[in-house]
Amino acid sequence: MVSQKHETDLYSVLASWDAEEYGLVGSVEWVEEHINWLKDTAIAYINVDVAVSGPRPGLGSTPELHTIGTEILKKVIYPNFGGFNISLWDAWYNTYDGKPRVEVLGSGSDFTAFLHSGISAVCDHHNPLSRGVSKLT
Amino acid sequence: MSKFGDPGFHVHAAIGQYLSLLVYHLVSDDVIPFDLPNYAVELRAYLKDLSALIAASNKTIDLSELSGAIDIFEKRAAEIKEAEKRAVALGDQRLIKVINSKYRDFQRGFVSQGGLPSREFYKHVVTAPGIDTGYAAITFPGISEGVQYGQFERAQEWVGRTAKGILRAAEIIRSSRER
Repeated sequence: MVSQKHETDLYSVLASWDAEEYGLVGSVEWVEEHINWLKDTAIAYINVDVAVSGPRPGLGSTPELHTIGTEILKKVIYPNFGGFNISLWDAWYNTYDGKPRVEVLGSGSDFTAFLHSGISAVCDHHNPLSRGVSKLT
Repeated sequence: MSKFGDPGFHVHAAIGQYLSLLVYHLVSDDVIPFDLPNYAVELRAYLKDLSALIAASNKTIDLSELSGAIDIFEKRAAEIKEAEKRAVALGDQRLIKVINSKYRDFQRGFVSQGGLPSREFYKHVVTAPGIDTGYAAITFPGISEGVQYGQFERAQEWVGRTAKGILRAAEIIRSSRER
């Protein structure tokens, strides 16, 4: 785990979790251990689970992060596999056939303990639609 | 991944840039880049879904307490957005600090009502993984699942608890000057 002090009085903490598949064991234990510190100071938790699993980007978050979460999509160039450059926002828009949405957070990844301690959360759900497909098959 | 998933890891690089920018803004912006009025918009959408679910069940559940709580949250969210604009325009560092603390803390209100029925670990009154939905979320879980599983008394009880959680969040973002 690495802590980096910025010019403001805010820190970002980079963490890697054990035993996610066994029931989010590592992240839940860590949140329980540090709950007082987190409740006093935590602003947001960024979950990077399946960051990339194919060409279609997707995003889930608590609602106050929808605006910043989708605005930043517009600032990143998406590798368009030989086609004209498009933004990550365009790629996200195409994922949902022109009706883009930021998913509501359920569970199945390490943001769960943070969300249920009242901390804003973003989850980078790459290939979000594959989850819908896997449920049907 | 190098052969089929993301040859050259170009998509990985783009997502890395995206996540870095997101963390950069959350840590470095003068005002935490939260959009609270959008939380009110989403609460309204979830309320609409819940009303449809209740209508389909042929039972009646009084949602007025919940809808009243959302009205108050919406008002407080609009007020704090205005206060944020004013603080930035005036360069008022003290007010910015107050607003940042409220942005940091408001979500704690949503987990202030104890655990959800039969799964106490989950405390968020607005969203939780559904009992039978796998990874997927269910909104207003205490109420929605009460309706889904025919436990209407429990659903009515959770209208009150959900409303209280939302009111607690609204109270956290209330300006000390508003009475």
